[in-house]
Amino acid sequence: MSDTLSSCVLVPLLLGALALLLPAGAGPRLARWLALLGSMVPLVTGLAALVDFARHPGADFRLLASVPWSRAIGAAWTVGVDGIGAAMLALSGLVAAIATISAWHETRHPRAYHALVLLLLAAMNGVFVTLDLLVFYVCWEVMLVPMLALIGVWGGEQRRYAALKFFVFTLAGSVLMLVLLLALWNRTPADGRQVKVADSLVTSSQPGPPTVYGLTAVPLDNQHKEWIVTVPRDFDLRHLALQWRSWEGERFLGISLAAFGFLALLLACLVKVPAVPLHTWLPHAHVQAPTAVSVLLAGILLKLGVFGLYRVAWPLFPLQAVTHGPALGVLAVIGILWGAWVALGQQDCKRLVAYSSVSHMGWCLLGLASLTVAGATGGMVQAVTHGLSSSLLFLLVGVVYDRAHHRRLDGFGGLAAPMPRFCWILLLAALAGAGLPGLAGFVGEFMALSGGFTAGGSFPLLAASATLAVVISAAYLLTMVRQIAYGPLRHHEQAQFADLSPRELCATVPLVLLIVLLGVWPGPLVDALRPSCAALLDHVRSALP
Amino acid sequence: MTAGALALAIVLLPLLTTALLAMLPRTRAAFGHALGAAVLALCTALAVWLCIQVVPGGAAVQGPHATWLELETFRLGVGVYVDPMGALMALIVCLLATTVLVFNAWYMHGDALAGRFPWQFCLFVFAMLGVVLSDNLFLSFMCWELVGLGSYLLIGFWFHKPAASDDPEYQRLKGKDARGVLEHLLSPSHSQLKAFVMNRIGDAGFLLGIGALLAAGIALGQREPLQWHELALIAQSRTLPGSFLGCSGSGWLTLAALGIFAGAVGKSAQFPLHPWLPDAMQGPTTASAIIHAATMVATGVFLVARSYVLFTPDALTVVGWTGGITCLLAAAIACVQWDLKAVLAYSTVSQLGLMFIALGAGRENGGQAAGIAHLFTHALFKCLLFLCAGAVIHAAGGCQDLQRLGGLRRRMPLTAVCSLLAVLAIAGAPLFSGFYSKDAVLAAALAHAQAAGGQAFGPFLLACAGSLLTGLYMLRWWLRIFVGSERDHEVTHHAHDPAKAAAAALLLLAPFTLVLPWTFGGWLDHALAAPHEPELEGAHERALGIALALFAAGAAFAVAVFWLLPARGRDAGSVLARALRPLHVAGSELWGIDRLWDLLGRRWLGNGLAKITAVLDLGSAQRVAGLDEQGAARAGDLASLDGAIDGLGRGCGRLGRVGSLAHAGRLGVYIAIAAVVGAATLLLGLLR
Amino acid sequence: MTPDLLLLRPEGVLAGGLLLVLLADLLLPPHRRGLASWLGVLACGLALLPAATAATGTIGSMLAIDALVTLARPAILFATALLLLAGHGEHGRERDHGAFTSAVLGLGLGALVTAAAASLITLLLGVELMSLCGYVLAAWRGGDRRAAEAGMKYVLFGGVATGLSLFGMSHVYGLTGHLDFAGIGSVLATGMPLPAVAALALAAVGLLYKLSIVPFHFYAPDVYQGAPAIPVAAIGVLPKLAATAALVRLLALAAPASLVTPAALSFAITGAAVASFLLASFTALAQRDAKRIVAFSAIGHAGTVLLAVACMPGAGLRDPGAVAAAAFYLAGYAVANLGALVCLAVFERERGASTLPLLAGAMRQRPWLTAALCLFLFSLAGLPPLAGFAGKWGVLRQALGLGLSLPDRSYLLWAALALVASTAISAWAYLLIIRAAVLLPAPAAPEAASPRLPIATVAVLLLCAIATVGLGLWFDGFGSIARVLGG
Repeated sequence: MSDTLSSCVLVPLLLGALALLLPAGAGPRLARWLALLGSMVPLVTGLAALVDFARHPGADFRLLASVPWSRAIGAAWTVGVDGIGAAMLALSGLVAAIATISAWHETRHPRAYHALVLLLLAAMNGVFVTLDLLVFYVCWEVMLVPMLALIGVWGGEQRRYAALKFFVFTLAGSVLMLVLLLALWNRTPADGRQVKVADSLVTSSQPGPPTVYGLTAVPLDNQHKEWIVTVPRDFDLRHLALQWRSWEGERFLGISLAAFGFLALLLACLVKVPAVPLHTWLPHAHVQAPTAVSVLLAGILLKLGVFGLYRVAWPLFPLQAVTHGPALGVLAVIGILWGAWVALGQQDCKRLVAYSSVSHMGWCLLGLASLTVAGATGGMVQAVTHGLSSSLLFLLVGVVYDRAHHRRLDGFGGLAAPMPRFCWILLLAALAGAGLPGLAGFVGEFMALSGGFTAGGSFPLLAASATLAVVISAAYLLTMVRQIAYGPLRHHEQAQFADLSPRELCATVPLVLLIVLLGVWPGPLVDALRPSCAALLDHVRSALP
Repeated sequence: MTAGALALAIVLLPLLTTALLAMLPRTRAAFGHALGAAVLALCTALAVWLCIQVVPGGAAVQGPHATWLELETFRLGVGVYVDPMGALMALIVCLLATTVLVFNAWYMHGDALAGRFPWQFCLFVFAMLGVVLSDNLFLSFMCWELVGLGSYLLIGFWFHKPAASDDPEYQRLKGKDARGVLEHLLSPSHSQLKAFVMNRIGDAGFLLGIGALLAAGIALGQREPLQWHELALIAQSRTLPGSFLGCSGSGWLTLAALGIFAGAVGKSAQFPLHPWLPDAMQGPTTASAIIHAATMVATGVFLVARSYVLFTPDALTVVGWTGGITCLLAAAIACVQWDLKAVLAYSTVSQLGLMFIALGAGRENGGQAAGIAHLFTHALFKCLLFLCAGAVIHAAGGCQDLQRLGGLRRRMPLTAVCSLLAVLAIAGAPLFSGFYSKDAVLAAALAHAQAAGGQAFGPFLLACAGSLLTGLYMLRWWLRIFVGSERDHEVTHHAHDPAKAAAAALLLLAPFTLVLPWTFGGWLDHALAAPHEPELEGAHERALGIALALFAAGAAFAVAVFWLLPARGRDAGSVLARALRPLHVAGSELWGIDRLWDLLGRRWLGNGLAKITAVLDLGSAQRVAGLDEQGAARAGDLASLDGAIDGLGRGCGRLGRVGSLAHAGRLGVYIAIAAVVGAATLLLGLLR
Repeated sequence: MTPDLLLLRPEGVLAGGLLLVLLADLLLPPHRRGLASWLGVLACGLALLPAATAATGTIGSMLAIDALVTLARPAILFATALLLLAGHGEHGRERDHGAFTSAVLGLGLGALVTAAAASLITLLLGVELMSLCGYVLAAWRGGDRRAAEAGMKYVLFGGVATGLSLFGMSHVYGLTGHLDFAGIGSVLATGMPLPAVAALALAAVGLLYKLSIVPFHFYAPDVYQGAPAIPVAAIGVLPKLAATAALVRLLALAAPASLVTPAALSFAITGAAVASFLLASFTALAQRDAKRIVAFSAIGHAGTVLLAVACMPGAGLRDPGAVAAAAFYLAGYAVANLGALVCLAVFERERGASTLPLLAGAMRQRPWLTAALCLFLFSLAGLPPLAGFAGKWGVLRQALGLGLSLPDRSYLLWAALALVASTAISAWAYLLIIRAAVLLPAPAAPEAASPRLPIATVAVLLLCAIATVGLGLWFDGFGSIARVLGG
């Protein structure tokens, strides 16, 4: 396949296979270069697309390409990105590159390690670029396998427990999605379904008849206000989204098919986000995973849940999204506060950072649930910026762990004297996580908050209670910084700790720069994301009677 | 150069300097200070120019403005906005920053970390000017938080210091009956954390206020609701459509105003969020001079004045009372402190309370003008006071205890004179700037009390009490340091005045403590748009008398108790302490507020509740630690989320084991079960 | 009319091959007996040629060479060939290897007959032929106690099953006077007493036993654990293929709607299916022997196939969707199961047994083999994009389609939910094997460089792996199979 988006999936896949076949001698050293190369593809593609979206804002899908997979069931390898997909793609490439650099000197089975990272990257990019629900599901599940191995083989003391738990937990979360797929397919007439489409979706392509996502549209009335489109039976997300009304009509196991589908998708995505109370796989996975894998986990994998909500759940079942909005908002706020409190109670700094992820990802959900442009865009911005700041935090935790071989907060103190650079970056990462203006973390949080405050209904109250997290997050993150970096040097062997090595600087400095850049100048990112989010919200609002 | 461009330059220069200085190698401290001071001096010059352009006209100028975030329903911008108040504030900030940095070059000479001071200091100055000159509430909030960062960094400047309780140096230098509260938490690293988090408590309210205003603005169909002029529009439209958090109409505004005020309470260390400020004295005295005395802590006052239109009478009542309570409480504590910086810190808190009392009096009573005027005068003489304090501490080899200092006026006359001027100013002696502004404050409060009556007298009376005590504790402070015999020779014997540049810095600030012409001419009133209704004149005369009386009483009492009587060999101070033992103890225990915060915030919420939540989430620590391959957990852990989910998994396993019991390899069992089940299903099938 | 015996060429060729193998086993010198298995493979290949030509017809009322058979034959022959290859790879050098080969060929022959059976007699014939060879295979590896016990259990339990079905058949004959399905169906269609149902059900027990459907599954765990892996694969795969085909035909012809409403019948079958995969998925969690886990997975997968079959009644062969789903599922299961068992056979040979602790460090010792094992296990677990997933897809699609369209079949929706639930749970069971083989650290010092795998084994594994991935991506397969069945 020649198109660039497919290459984001295929190139890592092939490079991964190549890495496995490398000879034992030079292989290990070559493998990491392959991994780096593989992560560059999505990074470059995503950045290019992102710049394009920032330059010419639009909600359309770009870099479209399609290769039929199974005509019988209408599945196809259809790829395309909107602003959201582009941002996620770039993020995945960046984080994967950072993770590879941080695992540059991996000594245990390096070839297998990098091959698995590449496989993981390919699967995740597949989720980000595909527009076909079946492919989406396939990639969604394939992801589990490399993660299982990466945690289970390269992890810490209780790695097997953590790995199996992660696998079964997430698999159980997403099985209902399969039922949903088949239910949707079964309830679509074999010869397609005719749906009314608003004028806004119709693109009049000269020459040729006006179309909607490539489907011919027939005017319903002579004012061309409404159109009729015959949607074929397939898994194209855009086509499925057009038919949301019919899902509302269907019954499935006593509830409407739409309700079932929404809950199924919600379950699948909220496990990954993760939303309290479906988050308990995360602390184990994070604590047990090696640093680089934690970075991948926090940097990309968690975003998949949010992305799934944006890409699948909300578009397919807009009415459900509206009706369940407040409940989700409550869930989000519970997640934000619960995660923050638990983080405050942690003694293991890696687990603390893990719980901070639980808390911070709640902002994404809050923003999206508020159904305001500010909120939804903010949720996505938060997803990106959290990807940066939490990756940075995990890298830094890994740095101290490499030197001290433990992660107990009370086992450090005064590292600012021997490792000043490290401590400055740690402080910056913590402040970014705590949402200090001028750093990336603030933008998403504030947008999600403002979305909540301006959403009306019960959301101002939710947002108001969420502001408490601003205090708590500052408390636990800066407490962590204090216990690691400041105060008198508590353990004298730590006076010999070396400051960040060049390799560690290579891994951290790009993140630092991006965090500051996005904190000071988030405009382009927001401009790239906003149209897609706005279009999504228009679609969702159109569901309201 | 237009006013807007000037303002922009003033804001951005320190930022650039920060970037430059941060790159500087740590060893080039002297150069760093020089460069920083030069840039800040330039900023001061520009600020003077700005004032010349803006203040006489008295009109506000909207500088360059850009969109920061476009969010369809509304827009967040960044831009510059200058009005006389802002211009003067910027001037004062730049002036003080310059002097402080110059002074610091001497103060930190030879300190290994000195190289860090300039850039952290410039970062703070940038943020501070940002708050002052920003053209909308959102940008102010961002800079507001960055100001907090600067404070955080500078409080923790000597990050390696241990807690006071196990710091031999501290124990050696502290006086015999100076009793520290929570000394085990008194360290730069903890104080900076405390400062940041307590400020964040206020900021949560600030965010709520911003949210309320955003909602209001969108309800009114504004594109950029947080611009100052848009806020004015929101304030004027008394009837907002709909409601916010159950408040509608003016209630909505009150909510927003109180949200912003919550932020101010945090930043300006008002009751009950004040304990962070005295702790902040862990930072270098020079940093405290400008951040925790002169300007940053006054940002709250400034912001309330800036968004004054939003403050409904209800909100103003809250402001006034908060200020009043803080004013008296802090003054009472300051009276019995032995640490010379603690006295100054509490006096700052008290004076800030005074400013809020003024603001609480309302614009028509001249509250806003009075509050800002006091903010300006206070900034100048309090900064001078702190620099003098720094000189003393430097001279006394780090000793800060009023029981061991004494009689320093012979060894450091310049410092003595300068600080005396500042003390008289803060005490409100006639012909001193403090007297001018304090009179204005009391006048406003009195006018408001007369106008509103009833509870409105509360803040006024509290203000009077506070001012009375101010004279008392400030003169006590000065007398114990500079007058009388040298109580402790070994700490004071090598004391001397600061060197040239630093001395120059003191001398530069000294004149501002006097009633300079500009405080008379009334053009400050004009610049601050103070009202001139005839009925206010009456209040002014009365307030003048009251202020005089208060100063006279406080000063006379202090001189008697701490100078004349001791000179005749009577230790009136301890007599007094014994006489007013309850007050004395309460004061030296800081009225238990710090301990309460420690208990509630740190122990119960920070440790207790958080630990409990952690256990509820993940199961007991032993479980997490002693987790074996299968994640076996004790029964108790099933109560935790994670434990419950593992329990579910183990439940499946148990089911499996039950199932496999039937597959134990006994053929008879197999056939029996098969036969029974088969027959049963068959029968069921037949019967239905 | 004389029956067109030419229709039976594949069976004939296979029978011939069987005889040749027996002869070769007698005549060839011991070190040459490996040749026998190649002969068998050759026979399968030759049998495939006529089998590919889809000529249909009937041999009297005994055998029906219909679309179903044209589908079942290649599958059975392929499986037989793969089994022979695998057997050659693993046991090629053993003295009694010829016996193994002939037993597998016999099993294949029996499977062919069963798959084509159109009357109770031929059905019994085929099933018994399979059983006999099955006994041999289960107990094969003489001297090994566990193998002997496995064989014994297989024999006894199978005996009971056969007895039951014979009993049922005799009643059917008594009640209807017919032995051929069509005849039985026609008679029953005129309305007959309920006992006929019981009789038919009893007659079907033999097939359910071969499919190891609850409650006739008990032998599976013990036999799988006791017998060597390759024979287990043979016992596990071939009879399932054949029995499913026979069951389908039996249901299509001999159970007319007038006798028992399709809904009721399919409800009963669904019940058995759900019981099978739920019990299997839960019980597998408690197992500590890889082959035992595979045994329970076999039960579970049989249940899944049965769920597809349950979607058939009423529509019969006129709507081949359900049968196609079952066929596809079986194909995917066969390759994955065969591959997994071949991998386990290697480890069993090298480590003595296939208990989970003994698998520790497998990844270190044989990375590629272990990777293959993981691939097959993931396929069995139904992870996309592997054959197991595609198969599950087909079955779920039938169940949901029927359940959503026919109100009186709505229980199929719950069955589908139960299926996905059991998928998640059984995935955990497979993870237990993976965990042992991949995640557990090697016991002590890793063994010396392990010998290269026999070429035949590698070939089988490659074929299975390719098929596993290929089938997983071949979603059009359902359509194609359905077209074949539709005739």
